[in-house]
Amino acid sequence: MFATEREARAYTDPGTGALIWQMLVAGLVGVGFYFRRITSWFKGRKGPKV
Amino acid sequence: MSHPATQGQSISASFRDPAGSLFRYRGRILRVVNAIGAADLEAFLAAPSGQKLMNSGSVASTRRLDDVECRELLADPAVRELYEARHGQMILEHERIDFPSYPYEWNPEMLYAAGMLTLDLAEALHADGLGLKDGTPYNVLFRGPEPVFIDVLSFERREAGDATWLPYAQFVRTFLLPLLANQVYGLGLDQILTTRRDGLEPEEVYRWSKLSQRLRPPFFGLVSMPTWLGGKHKQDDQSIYQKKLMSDPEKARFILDHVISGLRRTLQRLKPKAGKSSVWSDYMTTNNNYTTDHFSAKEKFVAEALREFPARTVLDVGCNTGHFSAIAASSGAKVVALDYDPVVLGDVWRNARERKLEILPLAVNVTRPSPGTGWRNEECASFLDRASGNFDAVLMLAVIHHMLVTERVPLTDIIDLAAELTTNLLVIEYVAPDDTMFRRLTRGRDELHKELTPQVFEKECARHFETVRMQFVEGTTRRLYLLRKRA
Repeated sequence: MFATEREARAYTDPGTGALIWQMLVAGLVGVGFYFRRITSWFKGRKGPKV
Repeated sequence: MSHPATQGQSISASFRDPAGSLFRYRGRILRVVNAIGAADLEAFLAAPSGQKLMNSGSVASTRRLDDVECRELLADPAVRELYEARHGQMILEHERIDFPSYPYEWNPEMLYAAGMLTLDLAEALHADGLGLKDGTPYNVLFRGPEPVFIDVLSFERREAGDATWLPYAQFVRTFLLPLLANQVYGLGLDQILTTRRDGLEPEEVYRWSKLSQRLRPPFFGLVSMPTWLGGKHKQDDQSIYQKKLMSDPEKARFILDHVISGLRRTLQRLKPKAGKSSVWSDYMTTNNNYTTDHFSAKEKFVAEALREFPARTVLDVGCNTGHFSAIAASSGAKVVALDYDPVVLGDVWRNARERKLEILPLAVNVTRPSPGTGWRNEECASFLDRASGNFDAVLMLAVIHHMLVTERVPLTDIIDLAAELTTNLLVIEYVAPDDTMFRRLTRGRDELHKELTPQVFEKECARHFETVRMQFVEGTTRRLYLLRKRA
C-alpha cells in the first residue's frame, strides 16, 4: 500500500541514464560501506587491548 | 503560479503535484492539500527538522487553516469548486513573498544559492526519516537576496531502506547542467531556462561538448555517463524505475548521504566566481560619465527623495552595480533591482547578502521583460504582470538613453511604462542627445534623436507626473527629476 502511494506521489521525471548512473555509483559506495564497517570492526577489536 | 481570483470565477491553480494545488486568493497564498499530501505534510510539520527549517526562514512559514477559516473560504463557490475537484482535506496559508521571481530571471549566483538550499533541506530532513520528492529551482523564491523554499508538498516520508534519491536527475537537469552551460559555454540562464521548464537534458549538453571534455569531471558524471547509459537502456524496460529497498537501513543511509554530498561537491565546483568582468561591470568606477562631485550630488538627490517620500517598495531599472538600490534599501525600502547584465547582478546579489540589504536583483531587460511562461502562459506570470502598480517608487537613472537608442523605444512609451510601474514616485535622469554616453550609443545616428530636448522630455512626463524638483548634474547634458504621479 505504501509503495503504491509513493509511486503516485513521485511525479518528478527520474531520467534514465542519470538514474542508472546513480545506481552504479550506489553499488560502489555500498562496497565502500562494508569496507568501512570491516575497518571499524577491526579498530573496535583493537580498541580495548590498548 | 496562479492568478488572482474574484468571487464567482473559477480559480487558476497549480496542477502538477498530485498532492495538492497552490492558488492566490485576494492577496493570500493558499494551498489545497489532499489525502496524498496530508500525511507527508503532517509528518513534516511534526518533525524537529521541519520546525527548525521554518523558524530559520529557510522554508516559507506555513500554517494550517482551522475549521472556521476553511468554512469562510469554502463559502466562495470558486474555492469550493477547486477544493472538491482536488479532493481537498485541508487548506494551508503560506507566507507571502513580496516579489515572486523565476529561475530564468536569476543570476547564476542565485541559482547556486537555491541549489545549496535544496541540498541543505534534503540532508536536514533525512535525519528525521523525511526527504524531498523533487529538486527543482521552482521550489525556491527569494526574500530579498535570500532563497526561501516554498513548496511544502515537496516533503515526503522516506522508507529506511531506500537508497535512491529520485530527484537526482531533476537536480542535475535544473541546477547543475544550467550552471555548467553558463560557466563553460557562457549561456545565460534566461537563454537556457525560459523555454525549458525542466532544465537541460544530459544528451543536449553532450552534443555541445568536446571529446576532451566528455571524459573529465564534471562532464563525465553529469553528461557523458547518463548519455551513454541512457542510450544503451532498452526503452520498454521499466525495471529500473521500480523501487528497490535495501535490507540494511544503515547502508541505505550511507549511500544516500554520499549521493547528496556528491551533488554538493559538484555544485560547489560550479559556484560562480566573484570578480568577473563584463561590458558594464566597471561602469561605476571607470566607465561612467560622472565626476566624483556630481556623483555625490546624484546620491544626495536620490537619498533625499526617498527621505521626503518614504517608499515601501522600490524598482531600480538599470541598476548596474546596485549603488542606488543600496541607498533605497538603506532607506527601509524593499528593492527589486533590474539589469540585463547578469555579471554585475552577481555583485549586486553578493553585496546585498553581505550587507543584509533587502535587494532582489533580477536579470531582466525592461524593454524585453520576461513573458508569461508555462501552460497557457499562465504558470509563471510575466514580469510586467507582477511589477505593474507594485512599486511606491521607480528609479530610472542613466538608463533612458539605452531604451531610446539601443532599443528604439519611443520616449512617450517609456514614460507610460514608468507611470504603470510606480504608484507614486519616479526619480528619472534626463540624458541629452549631445551627452557623450548618449553619443557612444547612437554611433553616428544623431539625426534620429535630434527632436529630444528637456522641454519635450518635461512635456512627456507632465502627462502622468508633476515635478517636485529638478537638478542639473554633470554640466547641462544631464538632469535629475523627482516626479510624483498625478492623482
